[in-house]
Amino acid sequence: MKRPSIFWTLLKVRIRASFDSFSGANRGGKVKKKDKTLLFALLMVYVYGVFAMMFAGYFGQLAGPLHEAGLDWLYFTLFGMTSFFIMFICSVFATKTQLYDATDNELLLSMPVPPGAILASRMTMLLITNFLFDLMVGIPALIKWDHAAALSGAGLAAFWLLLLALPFFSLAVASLLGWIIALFSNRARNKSLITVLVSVVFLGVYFLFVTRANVYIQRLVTEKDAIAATLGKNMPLYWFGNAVAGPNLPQLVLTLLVLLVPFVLVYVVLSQTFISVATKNRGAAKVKYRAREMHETPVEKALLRRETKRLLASPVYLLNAGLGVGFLYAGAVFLLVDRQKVVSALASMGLDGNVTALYAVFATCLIAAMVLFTAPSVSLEGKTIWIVKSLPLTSRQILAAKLRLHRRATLPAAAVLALVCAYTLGIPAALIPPLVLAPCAFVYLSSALGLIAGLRHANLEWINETQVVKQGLAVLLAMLYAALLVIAPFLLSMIPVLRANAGAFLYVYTLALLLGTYFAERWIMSSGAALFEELG
Amino acid sequence: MLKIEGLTKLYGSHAAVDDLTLRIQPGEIYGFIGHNGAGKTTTIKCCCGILRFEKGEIEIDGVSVKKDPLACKRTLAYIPDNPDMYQFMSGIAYLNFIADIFGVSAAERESRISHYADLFDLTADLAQPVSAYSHGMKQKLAIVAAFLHQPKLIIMDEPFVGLDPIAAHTLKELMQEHCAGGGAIFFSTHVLEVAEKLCDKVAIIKEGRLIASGTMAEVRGNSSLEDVFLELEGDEK
Repeated sequence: MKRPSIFWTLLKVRIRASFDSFSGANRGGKVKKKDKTLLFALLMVYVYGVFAMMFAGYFGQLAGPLHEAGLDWLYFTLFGMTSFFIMFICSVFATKTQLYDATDNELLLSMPVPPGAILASRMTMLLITNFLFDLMVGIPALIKWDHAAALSGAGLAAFWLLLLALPFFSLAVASLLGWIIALFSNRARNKSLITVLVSVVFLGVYFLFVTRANVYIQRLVTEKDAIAATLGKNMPLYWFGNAVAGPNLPQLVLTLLVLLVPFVLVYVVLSQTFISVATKNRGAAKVKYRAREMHETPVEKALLRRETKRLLASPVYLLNAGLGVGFLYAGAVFLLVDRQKVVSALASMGLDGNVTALYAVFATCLIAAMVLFTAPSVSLEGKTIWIVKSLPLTSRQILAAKLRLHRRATLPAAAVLALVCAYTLGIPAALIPPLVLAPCAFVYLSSALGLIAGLRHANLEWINETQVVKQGLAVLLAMLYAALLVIAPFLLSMIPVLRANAGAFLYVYTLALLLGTYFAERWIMSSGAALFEELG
Repeated sequence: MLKIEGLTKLYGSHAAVDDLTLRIQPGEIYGFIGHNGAGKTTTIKCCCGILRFEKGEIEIDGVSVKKDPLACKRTLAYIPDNPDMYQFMSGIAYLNFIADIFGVSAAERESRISHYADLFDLTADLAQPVSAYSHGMKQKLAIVAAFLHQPKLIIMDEPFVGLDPIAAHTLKELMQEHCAGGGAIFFSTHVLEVAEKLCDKVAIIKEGRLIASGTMAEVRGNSSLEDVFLELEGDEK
């Protein structure tokens, strides 16, 4: 049997590892693995389909007007820019991790594996990923153009050539930016803060793009001549579009050069420096200890500080469990800024003050449901659980600190959004107390339910914290419980008699949340504490 | 100081520790020897209140671990075989956390941290995150943390693994100092030479059962501890 080349072996390993890390298919038995793989494949097809449909809608609105205005080239330029944007946003962190932070670089370099093969396998994996994103944009763009205008055979060939070349350019730019991010974040002391900030910026750009896509499309259609004049001055962008729309062979060749040469340069530089890049010690800058005055801290505060430090040190934990806190504040700002829009939208729906108050509570609770600090917190103790278990601490004290972190971080945000709702939406004075109290009670109950899920499905044997923060059953259940706490009463509120008494319904909902919190806390402090004692 | 009476710990139907009885007096360094999987770590974890046990009784300074685990934990310190520490804290933050839990005053913690960290050449690295520590540095940090609240009893699981020769020597001196001051130490080890030189008493465990215990002279007789250990292990086969 012919031995596969090292490159192919490494590529196969990369594909397998990448697939397993997303699907979680590397855990569990054989049957479980098959199920997980199938479920993951179905989920991916669904997500891919949703995004492709979104891009179809986007290009569907552009194709007709741009063709009628004789700006065919602009359509293809916009395709190229969109595809590049999506590939770049989605792959820049993967590029950084794969090329600059890979944990198996030293292991591979210790084996008889040429460094070039390691680099080539990593870059090929990234190119495959980029190409999939490229297709997600390119195929809808091509189909929608085909509906509006015909593309010649040469134009079609040029389109496919450029579609194939785009991932190379995106990877070259992502490699450069990934290198810069790695350079700064790895040497920085507050590495996780930088990672979180950059992630939030990227997420913000992505959400801005998605939420304002319609506005941009309208502007593209109405201001197409001005945009064409601006982009037309930028030769590579014009060449890109006209290479397909023309079709124009010299411009196609020039565009291919513009797309491919940066990649070749990056590849050459990286292949020359890969060993030093891969083996460079990127530990944070060493900080020398200087003795300072020390202070005593009460046990409860020390435990809360421990939970806070754990949270702030982990970008994965902070981003996945805490994004809801940011959204609560963002919701309040949005309401204050776009108050008129929201008020007129509510007026057009014919909602009275009582129903508005009820829906404002549901909306606030739904956002607060995204906060999941408690659910993975027990599992996150991991192998260090011996520390708290060997110290003179009760399980109740430890669990109370986990609840306190969730509540201290989320309560002010939920209260602020509720108060802003009360101020901006003209809620009747009698409903302001439950309007503020209900989201706070929701935060209490959802944090307790998250902790219950965390205790019942604790997993201390993780290798990477992503396993418990993103893929853990406790987190999934906590999300489900919290969502049910909003969806069930929302559905109930559709019943006419309850909707007619929305004010009273809101009071009952608040009371139910408070009662639920009481029972959940009782469980945590008795059975939950006993469960915690059994761990480790 | 530490009284283990008929300790039995089951994992399912398998007895990891079977009817174990030991007594450690104040001022004693007590070595605990056995092959891998003999039940040393399980015994130690039961003594520290980390693991619950089915039968028997453990008392620390006259207080039952079962009845008042918190009071017991206040008088002891535990150093595990693999010091998995909080990666999200710096060394100094970890020591302060431990000091807060034991209610060590600001003045006392300042002087003790300075003293013990200096002894183990760890002071300069205290501001570093634990994630940047080597195995040996983590071990040193766990040792400093253990001595920080001046416990009466220190329980250690393989404390010399990962330590450089100087740190190992310092630890031996500290152990002797601690016991000279009326404290007690119960530790497991695979390094029989260390046990032989350091311990006042020794216990040998095999498959969860105690097969020999007593003063070093009683257990060793005229042979070396290594010979006795190998002989006892062989006899049981």
